[in-house]
Amino acid sequence: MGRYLVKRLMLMVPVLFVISLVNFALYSFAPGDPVTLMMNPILATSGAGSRMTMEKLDEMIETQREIRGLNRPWYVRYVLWLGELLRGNLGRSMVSKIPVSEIIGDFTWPSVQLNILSIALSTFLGVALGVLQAVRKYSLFDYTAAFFSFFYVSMPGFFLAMLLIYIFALVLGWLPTSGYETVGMPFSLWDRIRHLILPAATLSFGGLPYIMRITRTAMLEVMGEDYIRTARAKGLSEKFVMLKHALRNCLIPVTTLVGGMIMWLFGGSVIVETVFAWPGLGLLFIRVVRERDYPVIMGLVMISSLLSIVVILLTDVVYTMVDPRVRLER
Amino acid sequence: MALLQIEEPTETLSSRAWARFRRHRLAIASTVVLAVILLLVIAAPLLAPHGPIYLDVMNRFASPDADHLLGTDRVGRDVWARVLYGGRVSLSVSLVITGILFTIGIVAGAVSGYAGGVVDVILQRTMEIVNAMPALIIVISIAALSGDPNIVVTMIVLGLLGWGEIYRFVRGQILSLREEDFVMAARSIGVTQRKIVLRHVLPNVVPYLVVQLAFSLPGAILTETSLSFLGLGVQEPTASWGNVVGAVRSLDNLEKRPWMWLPAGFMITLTVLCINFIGDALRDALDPRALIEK
Repeated sequence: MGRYLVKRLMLMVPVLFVISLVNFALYSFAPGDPVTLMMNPILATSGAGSRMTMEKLDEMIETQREIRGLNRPWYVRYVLWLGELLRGNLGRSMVSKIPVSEIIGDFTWPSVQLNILSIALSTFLGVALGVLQAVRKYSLFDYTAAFFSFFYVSMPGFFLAMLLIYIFALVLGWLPTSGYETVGMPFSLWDRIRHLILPAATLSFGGLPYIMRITRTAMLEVMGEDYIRTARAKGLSEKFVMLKHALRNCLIPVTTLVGGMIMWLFGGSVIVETVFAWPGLGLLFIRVVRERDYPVIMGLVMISSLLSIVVILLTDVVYTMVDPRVRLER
Repeated sequence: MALLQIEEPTETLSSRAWARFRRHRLAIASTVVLAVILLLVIAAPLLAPHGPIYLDVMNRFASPDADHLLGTDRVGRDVWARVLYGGRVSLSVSLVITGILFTIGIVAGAVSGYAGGVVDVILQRTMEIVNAMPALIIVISIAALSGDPNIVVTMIVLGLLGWGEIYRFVRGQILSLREEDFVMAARSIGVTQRKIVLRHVLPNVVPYLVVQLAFSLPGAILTETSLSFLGLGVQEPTASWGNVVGAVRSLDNLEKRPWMWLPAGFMITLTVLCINFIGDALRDALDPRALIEK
């Protein structure tokens, strides 16, 4: 186990290196940078009567580029950036000059709240419904649940979000339409929860049907095994057999899926956070991408890649812990 | 008893699969609905006389009536026309994305599975790196950074980042098929490697690729519509299902003018739902274990 972990951790380094190099290069070839973007309003306000000549403007842009080091070739900037990264420094925002780690830190907590709640919701509900489906195979409940699971999988997140806002916030008026908390109100837990419900519901429905379906399939498979018959023959209660013997074994595929969901969530939350104006990493990402704030973009890309690699590794490890038949070392 | 029955020679794999597919009534219904959607979308010029970009400036935010079946949007464009024409764009973009990732996945998977050795290792490492890349994040940043989002670039990038699953599937299939007797037989009579892969191995993978296709297409449709919804995919005035929904822009429109966003969102959901049902039935129909056991 230990040797395996070390080997896998060593493999993470080249993978992260390639990801950072590819992304850095990609962004460097994109036209426009934060400086030209900042100069656009100046250009717009300086009409025909302005004394500012194009030459002077170009000069200004050049000085601003020099200050930010943008005049150097991309590979030089990459090496500098990588050097800083290895010292644990993600650099500073090109727009607000605030350290990248500080900016990302500010937006992390709302994202974590939203993601943890929706993963918990979809895992818990998905497993519960999947087990019920398997126990009552081919019943009306089984078919209805299956139909709705297909329905939710087929709905794009933004559309589901809009439907939920339309029904629960606009027509019924039960919940707020968007945001993290009511502006100008003192902190109240109930207010925070009310704001969290719709975004979390949208995000969790993205994964719930998959968990439900895989739980049902796995349960049905496990229920045909000999050891289940043995357990029943021993006279154990049906509830005990299902929960202790069957469910435990069908959690393996579920684990892999939940792992995959965590990776998928960061991408999915970009859309959900945009629709609900939820101040998480997804919303931050859309904002900095529009401002072409490269250091923050790179920071976010690296963090989400690291997250997905760690999650893949963790899933493999948890896999062995749940299922003693799987051996990591070859 | 069943063991002694001699199989009728006329019964082929595909006829048996078809018989199993037919049992799924929802899938049959889905095929019909999908065909209707395709017809509507293809016949858009006949069905939507206003066209998707004609501005009826006097009739902004009009509610549905006989002239504008689904009303108009904020600049007076006919929503019915935009939904139909948007379907053309959304579906073709998704097909192109799927086409790219299938091509890369199949070629890389076949080469990797058949060649083995160093080539296999290199391709596997490449796939691992590509899979660890946050695809949506990269696509969003490329689209937004280029200033003027270009859907062609977006399609290529999505294809380049999405082939991992198909690759793994094809590679696995080839690895197991490689050991089959008929491949051995072909090799022993001196058939070239290339011919073995193209003529003997790949055709056996095709049915399962159809199932994979039915699972990949919905993902491509959802990605395209999400990007266009954010304003980073297909650009206005060209209509796509995603940017028609995205044209809502305010809570006021969301609440008072549901015709602006409900139809396009409904079409996305219905299309993806149909493909999902068909895919599920296909997987069941082509399940090799079920086909042999009958």
